[in-house]
Amino acid sequence: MPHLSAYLGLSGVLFVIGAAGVLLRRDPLVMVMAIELMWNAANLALVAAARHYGALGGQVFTFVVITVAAADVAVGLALAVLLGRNRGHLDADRLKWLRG
Amino acid sequence: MSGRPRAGAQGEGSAIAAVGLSALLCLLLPLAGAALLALVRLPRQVQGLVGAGSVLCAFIAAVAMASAGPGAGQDPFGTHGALHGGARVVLGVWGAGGGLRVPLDLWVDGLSTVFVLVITGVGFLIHVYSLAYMGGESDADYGRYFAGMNLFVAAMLLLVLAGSLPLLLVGWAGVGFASYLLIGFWYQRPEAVVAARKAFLLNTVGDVALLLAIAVIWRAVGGVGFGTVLGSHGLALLRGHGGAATAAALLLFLAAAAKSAQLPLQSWLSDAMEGPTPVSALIHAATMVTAGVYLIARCRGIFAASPGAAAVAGDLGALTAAAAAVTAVFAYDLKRLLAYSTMSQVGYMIAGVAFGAVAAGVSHVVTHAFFKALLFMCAGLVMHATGDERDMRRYGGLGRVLPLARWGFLLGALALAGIPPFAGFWSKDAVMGALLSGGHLPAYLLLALAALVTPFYIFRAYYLTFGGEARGAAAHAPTGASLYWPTAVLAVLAVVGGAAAVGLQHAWGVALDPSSMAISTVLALIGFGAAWARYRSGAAAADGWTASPLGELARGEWGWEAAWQAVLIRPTHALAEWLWSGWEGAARPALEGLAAGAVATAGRGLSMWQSGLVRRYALAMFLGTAAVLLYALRVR
Repeated sequence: MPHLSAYLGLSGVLFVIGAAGVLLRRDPLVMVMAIELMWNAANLALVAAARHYGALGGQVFTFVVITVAAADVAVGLALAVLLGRNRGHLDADRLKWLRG
Repeated sequence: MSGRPRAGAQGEGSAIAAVGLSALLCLLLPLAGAALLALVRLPRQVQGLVGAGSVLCAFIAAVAMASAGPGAGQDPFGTHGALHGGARVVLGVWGAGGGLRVPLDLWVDGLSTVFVLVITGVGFLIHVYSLAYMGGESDADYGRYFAGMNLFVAAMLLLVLAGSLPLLLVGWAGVGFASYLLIGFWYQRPEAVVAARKAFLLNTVGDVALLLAIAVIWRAVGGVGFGTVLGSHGLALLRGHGGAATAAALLLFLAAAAKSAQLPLQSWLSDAMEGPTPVSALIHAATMVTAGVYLIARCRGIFAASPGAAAVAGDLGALTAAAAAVTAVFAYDLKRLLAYSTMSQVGYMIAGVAFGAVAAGVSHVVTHAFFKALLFMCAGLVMHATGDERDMRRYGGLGRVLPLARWGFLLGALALAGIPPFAGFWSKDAVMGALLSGGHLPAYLLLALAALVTPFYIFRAYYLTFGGEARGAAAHAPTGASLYWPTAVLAVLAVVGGAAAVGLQHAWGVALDPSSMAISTVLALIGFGAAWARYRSGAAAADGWTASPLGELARGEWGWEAAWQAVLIRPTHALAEWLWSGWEGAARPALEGLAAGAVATAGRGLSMWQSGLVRRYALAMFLGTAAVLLYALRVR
């Protein structure tokens, strides 16, 4: 079994990929997927730490995260679908009518 | 027993209960009348019934209080002017905080009993007189009038029955408020509104002075109830703090000067003549101006603790007496003449009570209430008969049209002039005799001057109004029995009221001084003789000499008003003008523009952050989270 730091390093890499996806891509569908990637990076860190320390709390909390992530996907996908249907495009940068 | 009647034997308990009940009824009945008249729209007859009836019931309660309690004959003062033998009616305590406990007591002793009897008795007669006098008003105004009158009486009763200084202040301010309502009763007339405002403002000076006096006394003595402050222990403490006693006495005098229209705060009273005449009668006879006399009499011990402050108060009272009497000589307006006369007579009372002749001063309150109310009622009859004419140069020959007013005015004038055996003589001379035997010579000489001038001005008014031939004002006798019988009752009291004064003086252990009596009689007869010689024809020509520049100066109240204008009013206006044009007009808009500009610039700068771009918000979130994490790691 690899050392904890390997898991955490992978988790960090996944998180940065997800964050970069959110920040750099303009398609809401891809942004939702990138967010899911970040959720899973966090889950990986939680499970690895729980395993390493022999504490069950991290694994339990992962279930909570999975549940919230499911809700997040539902809302995010619904938003993306409605956006495409009503606006005819999927470009987050063109959605700036809330500009101050 | 002073201050703690509750500690008495069982038999005394029921007596205290009777005193307390009657005192409370006396206080609450006019208050209830005022509330009823102010809040409920009643038919006209009922308004009059409630207005006059509540004061009559209060008078009956006052008589009950006098018979159950210590009574008017009880001398309320012991050694050093300490209160002694009063009945304390405990209603409650108001803990104001900061260690201040205000006893909400009523204090019934000889002094408050005399005042309560005069206020309710004379007040009732004036209410009855008002029933017909105010008959020309609309129903709503009629009710408003009696509501104000009842409130006036209730506030004055609270003032004289209060058993602690803060409770007294409540009545004190209430009297000022009620007088404001009544002086400005005809609120469509600009003069009345101005007069009401002036009275209220000058009275507020007195209210503040009284508040400060209470603060000084509280600091020095540690309490504000009469039993604590004005008992022998509290007065001993005050005598120990000479400065506190002097400060308290001077502040109390300033308060009294505002309420009683004495120098230097006298000038509201002559303007207050813009109110209805029965209101003037109430202000001058029963309520209002005697409040200052009551305050100084009640706080006799504090003035005794500071002879310097007492001398200031007494000398200023005597100066007011002389100055106002001389001013009255030149007045053309009958009501203003009576107002100057009141200032002058109240000056006697203030001089008396400040110099320690409390019985003399208070007995003058009683007789003055009788004859001054009478004179005002007669003046009111004259004004009603002549269509509200107030200028004596347009009267003349009114004695034939208004015989009762003429005889009433004559008896009132004799009482005011101090001609024996009419009422005023006995009390006025008691004050003068006390000052003479007490060695207060300057004050005595001022009062003697006033005593010489008083018969002259009042008989000048009498002859010009009722004697001679009619000069312009058409007259027809007003109708209404309620105008006449209170006048008649007061006329009788103006003749025989001296007995009450002498009885009071006797009970409070003061005797008249025969040599002073002789001097006063001579002075009064000289003054009367001069008026008789000059004015008995009642012709306007006899009064030609008052048209002189001196007369103009006197009618302008010796430039007093102009001095206030120059010292206080014009600088205040200038300040207001500067604040309006300089601050409101220029400086404040500039500052506001500056502030608004700063906010707008900041807003524009911050609005850049709200780009509407989701990705940029996400970046901000990441950076923020990263910053928080870095901070948390740094702390570890």
